[in-house]
Amino acid sequence: MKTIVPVLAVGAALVLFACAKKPQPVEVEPPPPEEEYVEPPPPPPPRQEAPKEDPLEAERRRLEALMNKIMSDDVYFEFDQSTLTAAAKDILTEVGDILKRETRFSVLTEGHADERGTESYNMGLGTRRADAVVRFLINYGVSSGRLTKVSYGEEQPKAAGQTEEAYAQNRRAAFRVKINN
Amino acid sequence: MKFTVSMFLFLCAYLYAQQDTITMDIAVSTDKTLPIGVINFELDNSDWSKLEELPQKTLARDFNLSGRFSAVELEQYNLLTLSREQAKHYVTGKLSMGDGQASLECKLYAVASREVIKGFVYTSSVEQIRTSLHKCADNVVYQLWGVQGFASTQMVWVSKIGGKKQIVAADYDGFRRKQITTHNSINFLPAWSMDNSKIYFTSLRNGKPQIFERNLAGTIDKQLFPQIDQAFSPAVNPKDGSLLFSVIGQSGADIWYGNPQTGNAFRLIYTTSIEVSPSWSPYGTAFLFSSDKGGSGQPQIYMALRDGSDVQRVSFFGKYNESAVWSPDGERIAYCSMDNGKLNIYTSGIDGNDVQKLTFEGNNERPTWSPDGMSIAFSSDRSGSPQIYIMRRDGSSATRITNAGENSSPVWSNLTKGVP
Repeated sequence: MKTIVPVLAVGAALVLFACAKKPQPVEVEPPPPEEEYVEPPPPPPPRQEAPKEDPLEAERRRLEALMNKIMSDDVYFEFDQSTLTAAAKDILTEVGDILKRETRFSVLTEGHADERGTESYNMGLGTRRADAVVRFLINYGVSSGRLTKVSYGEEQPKAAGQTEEAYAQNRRAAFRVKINN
Repeated sequence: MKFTVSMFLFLCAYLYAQQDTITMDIAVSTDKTLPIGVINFELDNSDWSKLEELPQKTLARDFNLSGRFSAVELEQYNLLTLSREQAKHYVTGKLSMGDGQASLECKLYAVASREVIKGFVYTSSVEQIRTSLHKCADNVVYQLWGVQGFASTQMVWVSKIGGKKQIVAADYDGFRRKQITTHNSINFLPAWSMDNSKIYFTSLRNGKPQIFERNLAGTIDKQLFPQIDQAFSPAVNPKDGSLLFSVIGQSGADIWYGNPQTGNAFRLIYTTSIEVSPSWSPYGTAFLFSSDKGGSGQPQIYMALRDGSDVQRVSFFGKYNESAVWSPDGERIAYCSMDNGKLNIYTSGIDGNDVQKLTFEGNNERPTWSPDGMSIAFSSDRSGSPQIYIMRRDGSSATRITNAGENSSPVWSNLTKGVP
């Protein structure tokens, strides 16, 4: 019995080792084949790759953050109005500052209306809200070629419901940002 | 004394000048209807389980929605009731099956003599019995009024399907609904082509409003006027089929003219304000539209000749007047107006005078005239969700024709030529 146990143990170890060699990389990696060959030194590659990616990756992350910042900066309007409030102008100067720095960004301004009033007139109101925003940004120094607009009228509300809170959320201009090469 | 009287007159004039909106209650219909008896049809012993509803139900609804009749529904002939209701005519008939075809016999009788004035027989599949009943209703309208009724017309509207606005078409009474657009995007503001063979509509499928054409015989949506960046709300000229629509311009929205056959389009009304909701006159020589050039957020109704010249303001009462449509006889306009944050349907003369308020409950939008001008369909959220209603042109007898989901923006089809 004593002789069998170590043999079994060695056998088991061999089996484990053999098994371990093959499945381990498969388990670790979702993108499969390449690292199978780099398997003996697993820790170094990520360390080496990380510093290599950094400048590009950081730039990408920085741009993404700026784009997300612009896209989350909805501008709100009063009922049936398209004049920019003080709060709206604050947001637009921030957006304008980013756009003046990041000259590769082009921005689509979406104009939206709340559901009160008619569908058709709200299409017009959405246009006028987008116009007000685009005009502000042009006057702020962003070149008009980078600014486009669209009206969605009352068709794409941000908040559901027939409350003043929902209406206030839906009377807005929103941004979509694209990077030009 | 003289002083006080003139003071009083001045005050009256002053108050009148201050008046911003006109409201009046119409509890009782101002147009009289003709009572007509509708007596239960005789059904033979065949299997009628595929029939959506009994013939007399369809027929009575047609009469009530016609704006001309009020149906007196009876199980059987009853002279006393018919006389009391002042019905001089009644309709009844038989439904039978032979060789797999349904045969509908429909007769118009005189109440007093019980003599047949006119009889009609229609043979069809069971599914098409409704079509036959609508034809029967139109025939009765023609017999007693000498004009073509609208019981055989269709309605197109916008229905929320899977959370997205889609264009649907149905019989004018809301039955036999078919989904027209299937693209998983927002499709809205539909219009019928002159011959009812196509639907024009607005879609956001490419990320912006554009006008599309769908031939009802096919399944392909064709984009119209791709040279225009953003366009919406097509309106069809009833005489030559050309279109008016709104285009998003440098500033606000403008009215454009376009020919769907050639694809040519040009701008008609150009201002820095919002111009929307064009609607042709019945003769195709002039059109209505809304503009807020008098004040932002305050659209008013204007009229122009077909080349965009001679613009005149039509609406003067109220701060928000929109979605005007011209009555088929050219005499009046129907539109919606916002007061206290709620939209209601009004009609007025084409000079903007003689304003009548037709709806009083909830939001009421997008009026569309029946082809004979007797009725107006519209959408209303009075029941809690937007649904389609038909009322008589004086606002009486509003009847809901859709029941589930959310339904809006009805547009009535055109009459196809000839007596049914």
